[in-house]
Amino acid sequence: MSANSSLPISSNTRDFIASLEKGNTEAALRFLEEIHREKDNTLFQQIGKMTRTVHDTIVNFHIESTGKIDANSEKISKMVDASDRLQFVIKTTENAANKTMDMIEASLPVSQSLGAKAQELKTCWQQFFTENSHLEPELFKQVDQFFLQTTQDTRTLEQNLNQILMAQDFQDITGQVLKKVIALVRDVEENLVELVKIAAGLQLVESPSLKPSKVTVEHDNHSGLEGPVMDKTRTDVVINQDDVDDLLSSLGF
Amino acid sequence: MKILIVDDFSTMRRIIKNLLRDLGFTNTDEADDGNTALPMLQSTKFDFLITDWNMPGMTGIELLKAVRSNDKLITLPVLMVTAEAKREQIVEAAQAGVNGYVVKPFTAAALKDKIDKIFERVGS
Repeated sequence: MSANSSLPISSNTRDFIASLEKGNTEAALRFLEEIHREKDNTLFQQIGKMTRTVHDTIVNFHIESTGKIDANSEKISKMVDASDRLQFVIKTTENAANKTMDMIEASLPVSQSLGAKAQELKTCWQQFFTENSHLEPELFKQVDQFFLQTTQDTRTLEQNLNQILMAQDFQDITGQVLKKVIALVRDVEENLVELVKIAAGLQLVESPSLKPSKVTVEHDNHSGLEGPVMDKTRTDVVINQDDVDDLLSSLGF
Repeated sequence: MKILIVDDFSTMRRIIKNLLRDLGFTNTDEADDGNTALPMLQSTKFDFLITDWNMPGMTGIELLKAVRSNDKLITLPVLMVTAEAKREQIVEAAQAGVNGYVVKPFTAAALKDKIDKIFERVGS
């Protein structure tokens, strides 16, 4: 609160008291109104300042640099908007997930053909040994075991690759959460700008009529959709697939 | 067996596509929301629909309702694969005529189980 803004209040208060003493009710009421207006203006100046600070913080949000200079940190430093940064996280994780899946898709057929070939050779090998059983039985066993092991190992490898594939769903799950946060940041920012305008307008308009209801949070048309739920204590959501199945079976599914 | 996968995240479409391939379903197509999916379902014969719920444009539940109100698509089996986990949402999907509901994150086994169950029921 500046010294200037507190002066009119005291002068108005003095005038108000003086008018009352003189019995001039009309003038007293006018001064009372003036006192109220000054109070409102001061309050909104304060809100305006705070709003501007918060708004600037969001716009100028910077991720702490780790000191490591690379292509990415240069890209990040060019992004001044918090939403852009979150969008960047979505894009980066999407690219990483895609690269991982590229490799999985390239590796699965390699493993599959290796396994199939080992199985095929095992059959040929046994055939060959039946016909030449007098030759090196120890070597036969070792090679036969190798073909068997290869067939089993490639199956394990394929299962592991599928697990890695499934784990890439983190990108979808985290991406949905980030999109929610982006929408929230935009909402807050827009409403802050609106508040700044109202606060600024108050100081100019002679007789301000405040309509705080003007400041409403705009929701997207899917506001009822929550996406991944973080709060595990909630009872209105299911916590796992078994819960879903129980609920559906209670509905006759 | 032709399957349409609808999800706004390409990562998830790709995961489901790979899982389906592992289960022996190689004939798949993709769409990123209901608005893209619906014309595809109307113009091409699909045997199965797997859809997310929360998507920009047309959501999965809207797509499900559109499918159920379309004479040609009314019997199309629909599996919802979504992070939406509210009980009332699952009830809503069930009432709208969904054939199965899988919550994300899910396992390959859960997806296979639901697909098998749906085909058992549709076949019987």
